[in-house]
Amino acid sequence: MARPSCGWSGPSLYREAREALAARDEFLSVAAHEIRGPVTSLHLAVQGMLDGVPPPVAEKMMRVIEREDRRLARFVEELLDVARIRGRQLHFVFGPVDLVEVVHEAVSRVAPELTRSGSSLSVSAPGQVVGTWDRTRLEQVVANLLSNAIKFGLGKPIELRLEQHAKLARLVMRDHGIGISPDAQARIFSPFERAVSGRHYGGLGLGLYIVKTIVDGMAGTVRLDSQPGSGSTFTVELPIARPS
Amino acid sequence: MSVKPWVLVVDDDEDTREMIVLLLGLEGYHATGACDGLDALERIHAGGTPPSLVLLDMRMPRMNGTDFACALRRDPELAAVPIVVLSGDGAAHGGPVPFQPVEWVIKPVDLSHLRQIVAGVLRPAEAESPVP
Repeated sequence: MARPSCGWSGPSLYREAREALAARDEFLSVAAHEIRGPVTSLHLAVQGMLDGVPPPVAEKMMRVIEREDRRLARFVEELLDVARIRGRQLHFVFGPVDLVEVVHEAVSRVAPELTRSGSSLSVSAPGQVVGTWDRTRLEQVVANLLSNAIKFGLGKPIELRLEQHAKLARLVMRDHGIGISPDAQARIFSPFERAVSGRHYGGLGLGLYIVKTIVDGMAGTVRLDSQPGSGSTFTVELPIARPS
Repeated sequence: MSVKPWVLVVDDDEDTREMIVLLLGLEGYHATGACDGLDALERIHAGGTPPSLVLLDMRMPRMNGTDFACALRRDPELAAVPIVVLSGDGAAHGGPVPFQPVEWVIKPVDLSHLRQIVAGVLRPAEAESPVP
């Protein structure tokens, strides 16, 4: 078969396609594993309750059911978000938002996860950091960064700082966990990628991709500074005014 | 005096681990949990006696199921501990593993199946397995 005479990049396209397929297969395998975890807990909790376990055990099981229900709902949301992003259907509803309020709500939602991780969280913020953003999407950004810090934070302290500047708001999330190697930093914001093998840490590997897409959609930037073994610092900067 | 067989549940999924420990406790076993292979090894060495059975997840942080099982098999005092793999990793099932599990169960597992597996392994050994 004749090849185009110029601009032919067949071998590299072929390699990229193979890598994309391998990443997709790995993602499907990780996703199946991650979904089987909560489903197993739900199965056992429900079957145990149907068997008539004693009331204190039943109460623990109800808590597990509630937690796993939320976990599965989060997986579904992440997958739907990726589908929306790929279909260019991720829409933003801009309005006045107080980032401090968003952070406090996100922190209260991850409180159980935080307690179980052993990490402490300190938040440093002025009274208000107000801008024109999409509140729901901003909540996702904060929640995903918090979950990431908790998951890879090795139970060490996490610091979250908010700053209001003349034209931009800044959110800095620092953990002291496993950190990210320089080569992994280049791909950590891509879908279906993670800095460490999915065989070792939970999650679908979509959180930071969603963070970056949302921040881009609000004309902001997200930056990562990290050293393996020394933790990671994610810095999000968002313009105060709505992007034109 | 009869002693309860010790079932060590090694799984990084905290809720799954808690559910299995709770349910096996109700069945009369001495069930405890470990969050990964390293944690499991530490608990076994701290316990002083081998567990009667290990229920083992495969994908875990720090030390995965395969590395843990190999560490167990290398230790003459622990080499005979029966291992049942309880994994959400369907792709790994059927592949070569450097240890011989009693059974390989793909999650999600039913409670009745779990009871059946554990009883099947421990019934003959119940009298000899001390609580750590």
